Parts: sequence; C-alpha cells; structure tokens
Amino acid sequence: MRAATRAPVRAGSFAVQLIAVSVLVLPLLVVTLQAVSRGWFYPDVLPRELTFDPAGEVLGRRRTLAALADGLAVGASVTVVAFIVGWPAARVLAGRSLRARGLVFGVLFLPSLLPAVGLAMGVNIVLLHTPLRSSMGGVVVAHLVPTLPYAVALLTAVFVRTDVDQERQAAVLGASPWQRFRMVTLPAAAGGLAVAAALVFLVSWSQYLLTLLAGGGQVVTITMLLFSALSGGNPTTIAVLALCAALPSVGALAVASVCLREGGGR
Amino acid sequence: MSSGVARSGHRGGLLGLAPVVLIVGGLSAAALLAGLLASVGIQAGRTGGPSLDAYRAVLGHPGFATSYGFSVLVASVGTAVAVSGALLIGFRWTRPSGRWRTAKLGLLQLNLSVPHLVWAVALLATFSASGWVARVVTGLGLIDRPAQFPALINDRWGIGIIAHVVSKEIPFIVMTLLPVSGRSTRAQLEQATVLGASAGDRFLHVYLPAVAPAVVPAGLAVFAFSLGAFEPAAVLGVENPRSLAVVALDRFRAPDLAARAEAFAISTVLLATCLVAGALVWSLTRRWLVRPAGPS
Amino acid sequence: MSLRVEGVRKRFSRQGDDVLDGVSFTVPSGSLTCLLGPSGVGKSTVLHIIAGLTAADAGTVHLAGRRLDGVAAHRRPLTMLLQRPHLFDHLDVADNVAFGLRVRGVRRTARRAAALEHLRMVGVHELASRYPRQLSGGEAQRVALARALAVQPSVLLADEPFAGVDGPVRRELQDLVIGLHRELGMTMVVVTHDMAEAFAMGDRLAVLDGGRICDEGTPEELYERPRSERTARLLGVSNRWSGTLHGGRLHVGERCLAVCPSNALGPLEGHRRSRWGIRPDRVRVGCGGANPITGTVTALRFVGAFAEATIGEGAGAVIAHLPADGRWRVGDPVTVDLPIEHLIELEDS
Repeated sequence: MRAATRAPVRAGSFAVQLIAVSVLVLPLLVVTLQAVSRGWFYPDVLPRELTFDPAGEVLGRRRTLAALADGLAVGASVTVVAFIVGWPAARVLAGRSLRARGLVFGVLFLPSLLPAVGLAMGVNIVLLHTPLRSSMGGVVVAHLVPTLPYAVALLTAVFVRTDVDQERQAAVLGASPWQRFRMVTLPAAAGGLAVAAALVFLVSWSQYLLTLLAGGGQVVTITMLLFSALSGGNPTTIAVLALCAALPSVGALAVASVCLREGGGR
Repeated sequence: MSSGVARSGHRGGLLGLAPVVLIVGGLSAAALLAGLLASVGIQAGRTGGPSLDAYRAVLGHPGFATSYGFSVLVASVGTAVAVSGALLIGFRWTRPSGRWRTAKLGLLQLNLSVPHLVWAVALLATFSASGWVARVVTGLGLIDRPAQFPALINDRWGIGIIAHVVSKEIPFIVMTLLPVSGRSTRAQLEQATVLGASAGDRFLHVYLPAVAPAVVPAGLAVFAFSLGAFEPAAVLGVENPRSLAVVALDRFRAPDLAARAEAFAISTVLLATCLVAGALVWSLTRRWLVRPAGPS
Repeated sequence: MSLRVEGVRKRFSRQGDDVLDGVSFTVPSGSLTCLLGPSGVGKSTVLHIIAGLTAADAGTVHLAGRRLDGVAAHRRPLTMLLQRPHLFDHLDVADNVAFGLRVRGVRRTARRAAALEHLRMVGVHELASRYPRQLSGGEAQRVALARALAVQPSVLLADEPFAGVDGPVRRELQDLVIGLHRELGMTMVVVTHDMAEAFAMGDRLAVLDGGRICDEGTPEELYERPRSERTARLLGVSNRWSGTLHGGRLHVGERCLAVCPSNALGPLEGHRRSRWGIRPDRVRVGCGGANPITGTVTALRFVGAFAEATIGEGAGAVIAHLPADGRWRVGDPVTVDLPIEHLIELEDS
C-alpha cells in the first residue's frame, strides 16, 4: 500500500529533476553545437555540417583577440587589486566577532542589493569627473564594487579557518613571523586563496553593464562583441562569441572547485 | 593579547578596513548621489537649479505604467519562484547526500559561472520560436512553422525573462543556502523529526527560520537584480512592454542631457521600489533575522 | 637548565578577576615537573607565558639565570607541545619533524636525517612519508613529540599533551615521555589536570589553583603532606574539618582528637582555630588507635579494590576506604581510627 502510493511520487520527483537538469544543460549544449556548425536553421534538429571553420574565423579576428585580452587584463588587475586591498581587511575581520563581521559584510554587499543599471549609470558619470574616465583603470575601479565584497568574504573565511595554534606551534619551534607566514600560513591557505582569486576573476569577467558604462567604449570585452552580434549577426558567430565569453569563467570555476576539493578536506 | 603570534591588534583594525569600505561604500554612494542629482537636473554641462522635469516626463509618459508594471511583475514572479525552488532544493539537500549530489552541485556551479548575456543567448537558441525545442516539436509533427510554437521567449508576459531569472538565480540562492544548511541545521531537523514533526512542519518551523538570515538577503539581491538587469530583458524581452532597465539605458545613451536626466529618474524609481520591497520583506521576516543577543 | 617563574600575573578581561595572581615556581634543571591544577585555572596560560606566546601583565621568567621576557617566542631556547598535535597538514611526517631545523637553516639532507632519528626515538620512523591526515591520534602525538625534540630545546613544555588520547595509548605515551626524559635528561614542564598522570610522570609537582602555586614538592611529599586546602582537595584528602586546637588536642564538634605536633603548621599550645584533614585510605578500620570513631555507614560506594564508605552524617562525617569484601552494608555500625601520623593540618584558604 505504502509502496504503491510512493511510486508515483518518486516518478514525479524524477521527472522534475530531469526537467531541471535539461533546462540547465540543454541551452549550453545547443550553443556549443551551434558554434561548430554552419547554416543550422529551423527546422533541422541537428546541424547538417559540423565544422570548426567559422569558429576559427571568429577567433582569428583581431577584434575578438583584443576583446579577450581586454577582459583578461581587467579580470587579472581586479583580482590583484582586490587581494591587495581586501587582504588586510580580511585579516582584521577574521579576528573579530561574528556580529562585527556580519555588520561589515552587510555594508559591503549593500550595493549588490541595488538595481545594477542605476549603479552602472551612476558610476559612469562619477568617473567622468576623474582621470579614469573611459579607461581600463576606470573599469577596474568600477569592478571593485561587485568584486571586493566577495574577495573580503572569501579571504576572511580563509583566515578564520587558518589555525592560529599552528602558527603558535611554529613559533615555539623557532619560526620567525615571516617564516611562519611563508611555511605555515600560506601553504595552509593556498587552496582557499586560489578559490578566492578564481571567483573574483569570474565576477569581474561576467560584468557587462558596468564594463560598458565605466569603460565608455574604450574597453571592449567579448560580451560587448556578443551583444552587438546579436542584432543581425550570424548564429554561428553569436554562438562562438558566447562560448568565448563563457569559457574563462567556467575555467575559473573549475580551478576553484578543484582547489576546494583538495584544500577543503579538513 | 599575545605577543607576535596573535591576530592583528586592535588599533590596526580600522585602518585595515578603511580602504575596502571607502572603495565599495564610497564609489557606490557617489554613484547613487550623482544619479540622484542628475535625475533632478543637476549634471555637468547643464545649468539651472534642480527641477522635477525628468520625473514629470518619465511618469507622464503613456508607456511608463505598463513598463513599470511589467518590470515589477517579472522581478516579483521571478524572485518568488527562484526563492521557493531554491528553498525546496536546499531542504531536500539537508538529507544525506544521494549518489548524484556532487554532479548536481557541479551543474549548479556551472550555471552560476556562465555570464548572464551568454545564458540569455543560450535560452534564446533553445526555447525561441525557431529554437531547438521548436525544431524537435516540428520534427515530431506537432507544429508546422515557428509561429505555432508557444511564445516562451520574447513574449508579452516576460516568461523568457522570468525563466532566465529563475534558472540563473536558483543556483545562486542554493549556493548561499548550503553553508547554513549544514550540520547544526541537520541535527535540529532530526531532533524535530523524533519529536514528531512532519516534513511540512520541519520545513516551516525549523528549516525556514534557520536559513532565513541567508535567504532573505539573497532574495532581495535577486529581486534587485531582476528589476535592474539589462541583459536578459534586452535579449529575451519584447518592444512592448519594454523593461524599465532597457528604457533607462536607452535614455542614458541618447545624446541630450534631458534624456539622461530621465534615465536617472527611472533608475531612482527602480531604487525606490527596491527599498520599499526591502522594507516590506524586512518587516515580514524580522522575527527570523533579529536574534536576541546572547553572551558572546 | 633551571627555569624560574616569578610573580607572574595575567588578567584576561577588564572586568574579570586575575586569572594568574602572582604565580611563582621553580623547575630544577633536568626535572620533569608537572603543573597540576583543576580545569580553567590558567595552567595553559602559564606555559604560554613561559613560551612567549602570551605576554604576562607582570612578573618574570628566567631560564638558567637569563631573563626571557621581551624575547620573541621563536627566539627562546625552549619549545612547547600545544594541546593538540598541530601537525602541518601540507608537510609529510618527516618534514613536520624537520620543520624546526628548516627554520634554523639546517640543510635538507641533514634535517631529514635528524628527523628520521627523532622519529625512531619515539618509535614511529616507519611513518616518515605519511601525511598528518593519515595518522591516528596517538601517532600524531608521537610525531609532535619528535618534532619538539628535534630542535633540541633546553626546556620542553607540554600542555596536556595526552588530552586527546585514552586508555592504553595514553599510558604508552606517558611511558615514552618518562623514558625519553630519563634518557635525554631534558628539563620538562608538563601541564595536566589528572592527578594520576602527574604522580606517574612528574618527579616534582607544582599545584596551581586560585591564581597561585599553592604547593610544590615531590609527588610523595604532596601525597602525604599537602599544605594548602586546595591541594588537599585536588589530591583526594576528602576528610577535612575545621575545629579548635585546645590543650594540645583538636576539637571538632563533640569529637576530641589527638594530633601529632610534627603534622601541625603552628604550635599546639594555646587556643586557635585550625583546619585538619586525613586521606580516606589512611583511615583504619577497627579500634586500638588514639582516635577511635564509631558510627553507622550512611553511604557506600563500591569502587573496585575497596568501598568508599561515609560514616556518620553532616559536617562530622568521616569518609573511609573499607575492604570490598561484601561485608559492609548501609546502616551497619562500624568503628574506625584516625591514625595521628596521617592527620595533617592544612593552610586555610
């Protein structure tokens, strides 16, 4: 009796999961397939021709390469700056009470609770009055607003996890402060630091509006090329650009999860 | 407290925090203030005192009410569905991990890492009237041409945008839920079970209060995002009604300063909406968020 | 090298009482001194202050006549085993043991060799290439011990080093430390709250309670003749009475007891308030002594080798260890004697 009523429930739950998984996976598969096809139109369920030629052609364009380079440069600079600025803050927060930490995080994440379009437009006119207008520096500074809170939160988590007693143990074994940092703290935190770096890069790379408006047209990233291709572009070109825009962040995520698995086992 | 090997001292504390708070808080406050000033006509290159012309123009526009209603509807429905879905997943995942948990988690993370514009493009390619699903349905002989396919994308009711918000934000909320769905919550749920609580009781009276401090801010972030998001609205939306975020950016990029003031007026309306929503949610969930201070 | 702690004070919170209120004691060169005390009296803090991990508010630490205050923790010629092994997860066992040599600039081959030698000393050289997460609690503790010994400290401090292990493994580790101490002749301070462990390991004990050292001496001395009330309580002198010394005899309530002058802290002549105690295992069954006491057994607790009996009620009750031969029942009348050589006067606290 019980089993009889359970079976449909289980089947229903399975169906829901199947739909959820296909909604998450299918779109990415379709775009990937589109990127390696030519002339794949309605009503063909599968492409008639699979080829890397259009992908190679798009990737070979100077504009594409420049956009990839711009995005990487911004992402890398944002990561470095966020680490330098976020490190001491995280160090301080790790030593404070949960309540104090929550308060500071609340302030830092507040801008994330505001509509992005207003923030981006506001940043644009603020930067207009500074030497950073329409420059990569301006984009990097603007990206700090969404990325720094993550950097501080992740670094704080790393420092909270690091065991002060390990540093003490190293001290009574004769390690100087610098040796303790280099031989104990850093190796213990390496996994967490890699995760933090990957996620900060990912958040920076994924910005569209903020990059567009802070860069004032001088910084062109792959998502911008993708956006302009959307109006009247070739589906294959669109798909290739979409993959270019997705791959670095997916890669960063892969790095993060590998590090998490290796460093998170304690 | 201790010499040399203790965590940073008390005095160095605020100094270390200052740059972070200054950059994040300062820049966003400056951006908000500049936007507010611009919306009342105070901008560089424009003379004259403050005026409410921009607000008059925006609110008086015949399409405004529709656009506003559309944006708020999409954001509310999207947030409600995303939060409920994420809560159900999170609650389910407090149970011992099944065989596919790691794979499912990886899938959510994968989705989380895909930029919004890319995800919108992918949804377009899959669910639009001439997209992959429509082709499969055609292949099965259920329809003959794209026009017969139900409008899931670029539709009047914003189903495409809502689908984007839901599919992209459920992973986000689930990720913020997971750390608070940990061991102590699991133990509380087990305790509730042996006290005779049904699954529904456990969800309502144990799980929800436990994850509220994480899910309420996450939900507000999702609402703000979907209200002010440009990419999904631009790719998956329609010309009429147009999402307010798209209208705002359109006005912002127009060459004349009056249009720019209107863009900021719209942004201020969106901001006010977020604040009202935040206040509403706060008053409804305060009893879960504010815990009496215990001995520290 | 002898270690001298003098007048150490440490207060943690502004409102809180002094945790350490003038702690002074000496660890003779080559001794294994156990710092004994109940939980939460600041034993760990004393070690942390000696090691330089915590700064004292007042007081000094001298090692072989050299003042250590102001010397950074990593420059002190001593080392410490913290409460848990705290092995470095990213280093294998041999590198963990070699850590202290690495920070002293010893070259890799030399320090690996020294590490192996010290691992052999503690009996786990076969674990050299394992990683900390692959070790059991006892193994990790041995590795931590080897790591501390490898730096050849002039003093080894150990903070409840066996708190994480139980049963036979704990016993093995105690024996290992005793053996190493005998072999190396190293000065050691071991913190513990376990009386049996302190008796088994230490050649000297210092009892910390109430913010001060309340007794110092060999285990035998302190067992037989604790001076302070706190030490007596900690070391199991469960019969403690307040009374009046008058005419050379102790009056506790109705009872009048003969005492021995050598067990008193002051003159027996005259009239004064005084506090005395006797271990329950020194209370003798039967009459024929100077202080016979008759009463009924009001409570009986079987402990194994003996039964712990409470004789009489209220403040005058006597606790005695009776033979566990099943002869005794609650309610039975019994006569015991308090031998005067074991009746001792205690400093009132």
